[in-house]
Amino acid sequence: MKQTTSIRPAYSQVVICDPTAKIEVPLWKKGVPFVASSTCILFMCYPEIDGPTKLTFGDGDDVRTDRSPICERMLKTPGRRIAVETAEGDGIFDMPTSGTETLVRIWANRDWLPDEVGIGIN
Amino acid sequence: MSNVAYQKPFPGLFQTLLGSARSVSEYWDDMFEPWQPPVEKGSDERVPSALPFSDGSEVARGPTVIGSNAGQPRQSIVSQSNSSFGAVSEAELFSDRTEVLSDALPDPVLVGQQYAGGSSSGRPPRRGAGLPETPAGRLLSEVFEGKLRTLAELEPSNPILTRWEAPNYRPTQRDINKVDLEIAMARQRVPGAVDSQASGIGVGPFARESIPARSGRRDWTEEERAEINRIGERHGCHTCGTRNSGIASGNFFGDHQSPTRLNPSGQNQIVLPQCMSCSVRQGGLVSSTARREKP
Repeated sequence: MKQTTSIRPAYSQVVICDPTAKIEVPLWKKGVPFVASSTCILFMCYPEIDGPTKLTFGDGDDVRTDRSPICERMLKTPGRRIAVETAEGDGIFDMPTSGTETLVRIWANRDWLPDEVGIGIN
Repeated sequence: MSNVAYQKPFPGLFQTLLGSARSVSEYWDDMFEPWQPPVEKGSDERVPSALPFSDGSEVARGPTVIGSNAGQPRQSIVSQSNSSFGAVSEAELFSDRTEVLSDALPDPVLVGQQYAGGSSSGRPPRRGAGLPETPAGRLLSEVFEGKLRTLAELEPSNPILTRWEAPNYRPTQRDINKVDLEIAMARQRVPGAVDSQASGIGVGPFARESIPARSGRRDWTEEERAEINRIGERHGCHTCGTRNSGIASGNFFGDHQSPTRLNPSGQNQIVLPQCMSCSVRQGGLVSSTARREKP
């Protein structure tokens, strides 16, 4: 199952983390499409001032595209939940996980400033 | 009041004013056309009794010597005669091609008297009092005063509170925006503020102009977007100062200050231009701060 929405996220990025857990938000570095810590991923989207980004969230097999994933990280999810939020903390998607560690893979239609992003959970 | 009004009764003054080196007699000779009969200088008889018009009619030109100025250039009026014109002033053509349209004696020139820019016309003077305040202008003034009071409460010694204003100064929206910017910075200078400039979240060192935020949302109007871009192109990103927004469209990002997530009390926000890099970086910091602040 997958969920889709089209939004202009604040600061042109989304946060992927366990919403119930204390997380460490990584610091951005210039020129990279995402930054990650063991508990959180920040992923850059299309510039919100120029237009929306189409976000898809769900099981990895449902979201995957022909392109190889831009990001593939294991996140700690001690609360057995994972969510996609804006930088301001507003929830976009949310789903339970099977364990306290979750593999997150992110596909996009281009490497830099994509306007279509798929976030797959395994 | 043209200089001609001065020159008729005071030919000497005329020469002084215009810097003419010509004598009065030469000036007198030039008053008449070659076809006019020669008469003795200074005599009013030399003046023809009528001037022909192109349509064959004539305008009477009877001598009208005013006061004791006989012998000096005269002023006269046109009689209607056979002309189809109404009461039109006769135009006496002078050597410098100026003409007199009235036989009224000019008022004496008083030293120190103001002769231009007075209020007799009903229009406001160019300097000084300014336009009367409109209801919208009054509202702007009240908002401006209110914001100055807010700033005074936050920072009583803020330099922007010391102002030099004209007696009838009218604040503009831009003045209000400037005070708004100063209020936002003053709030972030308060000890313990999470969105201070040092944190990388607050108003940056390159902030010069801002626009008021309608809300914490990012639903910009075309006018707002244009204004954000104008400020960004003029003063650069408020955080790093670059005039390159970092994206192909060239649009600057509108940055709410204080950041919406860190403004739970709903205080007035302003919007500043920001480049892509600083916006994204600030997003991470806001996210981190907001989660740390979360109870």
